[in-house]
Amino acid sequence: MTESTARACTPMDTVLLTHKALRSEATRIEEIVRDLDEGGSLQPFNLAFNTWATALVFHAEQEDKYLIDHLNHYGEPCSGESVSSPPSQNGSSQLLMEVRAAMVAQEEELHQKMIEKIEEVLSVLQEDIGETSVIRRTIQHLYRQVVALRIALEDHLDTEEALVLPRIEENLDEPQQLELAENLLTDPDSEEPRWMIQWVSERLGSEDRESFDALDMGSN
Amino acid sequence: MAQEITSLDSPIDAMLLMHQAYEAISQRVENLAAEGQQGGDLQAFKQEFDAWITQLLHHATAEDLYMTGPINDSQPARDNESEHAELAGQGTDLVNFMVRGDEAGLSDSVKAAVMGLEDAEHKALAQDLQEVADLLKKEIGQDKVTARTRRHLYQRVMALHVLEFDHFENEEAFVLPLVREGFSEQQQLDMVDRLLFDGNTDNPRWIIDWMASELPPTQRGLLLDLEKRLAEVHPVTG
Repeated sequence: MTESTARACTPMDTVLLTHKALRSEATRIEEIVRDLDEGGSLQPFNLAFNTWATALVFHAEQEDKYLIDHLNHYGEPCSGESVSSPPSQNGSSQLLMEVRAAMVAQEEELHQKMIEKIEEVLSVLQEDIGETSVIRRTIQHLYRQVVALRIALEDHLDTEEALVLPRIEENLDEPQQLELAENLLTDPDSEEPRWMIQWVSERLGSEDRESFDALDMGSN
Repeated sequence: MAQEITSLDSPIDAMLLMHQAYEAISQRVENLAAEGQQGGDLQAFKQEFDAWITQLLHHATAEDLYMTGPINDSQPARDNESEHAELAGQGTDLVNFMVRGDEAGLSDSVKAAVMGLEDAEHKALAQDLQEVADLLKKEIGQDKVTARTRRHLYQRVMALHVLEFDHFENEEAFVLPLVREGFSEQQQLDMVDRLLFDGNTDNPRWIIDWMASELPPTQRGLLLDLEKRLAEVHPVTG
C-alpha cells in the first residue's frame, strides 16, 4: 500500500473544498437538465438531483446548527478594525459592520430559500412521476429552477467565504476549527456518519481530494 | 412550436415563423449570458440583447393592438395580453438591471439584507446603501462582485426566455385557433401586415427583415411567399 504524501488541508480549507464540491455538482446538475432530450426520461436527472439535494440540505442544516454562534458574534470588529481608523471613517466602519451583520444574518434565510427551491424542483419531479417522456416545457421549468438554486447557492457561499470564514479563522484556534469542520461534515444520526465527507471527496479533483482526505475527520 | 413549419395554412400562421425567429435570438442571448458568467466582454451579448428586447417589446404592443384587441369577449385573448404585460415588465426590469452595471447583484443583496432589519435600523441604513455597497465591494473583491451580477443577469435572461417560450406555446394553443376561425383570410392578411411591418417608422421593414435573418432557408422561403401575397393587397407597406 502506498502511503499518501499529500499535505493535509487546514480545517477551514475543508469548508472551502466542501463549497467547491457543492458548486461543481451544481454545474453538473445544470448540464444534465440542459442536455435532457424532449421525449426522453427524467430518471438520470432525478437520481443526480436527489443526491445533490441531500448534500445541500445537510450542509444548510449543519451550518444553521454550528455556525450560528459565529454568525451572532459577527458584528464585532476584527482586531485593529476601527481603532486606528480616522474619525471620519468610524461612521463608515460602523455602517459596514451593521450591514455585514445583516447580510450574514440573512444567511439563515438563504438556507431556507435554498430548501424551498429544492422543494420546488422536487414538486415538478413529483408531478412528472408516471409520465413516460418529458416535454420541453417541463425541461425548461426544471432548468430555470435548477439555475435559480445554483445561483442562490453561489451567492450564499460567496458571502460566507468573504464575510464569515475569515472571522472564524481569526477567532478560533486550530483544534476549535477542526471541531467545527467535523461538526459541519459528519452526520452522527446516520448509520454512515462520514457520508458527507465521502460525498465531498468524490467530487474533488485528485489534488484537492488527496489533501482533503489527508485531514483526519470524523473517524472517532 | 417544436415541429418544423413547412407550410402556412392561414396567414396568421406567420406568427409561427415569428415565434421561431424569437426562439433563435433568445437562445443566442441566453447562451451569451451563460458565457458571460465566466467573465469577459459583454459587448456581443448587449448587441443581441438590445435587438431581442426591442423586437419583443414592439411585438407585445403590436399583437395587443392588431391581433388580440379585435377579439372581443375572449378570456384566452385577455390572458395573452396579460402575458404580454408580464413579458414587457420582466424585459424592462432586465434593461434596468443592466443599466446599473457590475454592482447590481451586490446592491440587490445589500438591499435585501437591509430590508430584513428592524424598521429604525433599516431607515438609517437605507439612506447610505451606495456607501455600504462600495465598502462591501472592497471587502468582497471586484471579481466576485462582478461574478454575482453576471450570474443574476443570466438568471434573469433565462427566466425571460422561459416566460417567452410559455407565452408562445399558449398563444399557439389558445389564441391562433381563434384568429383562424374568427377572421377571414383578408382580415388575417391585414392583421399580419401590421404585425410584420411598422408603418410608423422610416424603415417599415425592420421587423420582417429581422425575422428573415433569423429563419432557416425553408421558413425564410415561406415568409417571402407570404410577403408577396401581402404586397398584392398592401403595395405600400409590403
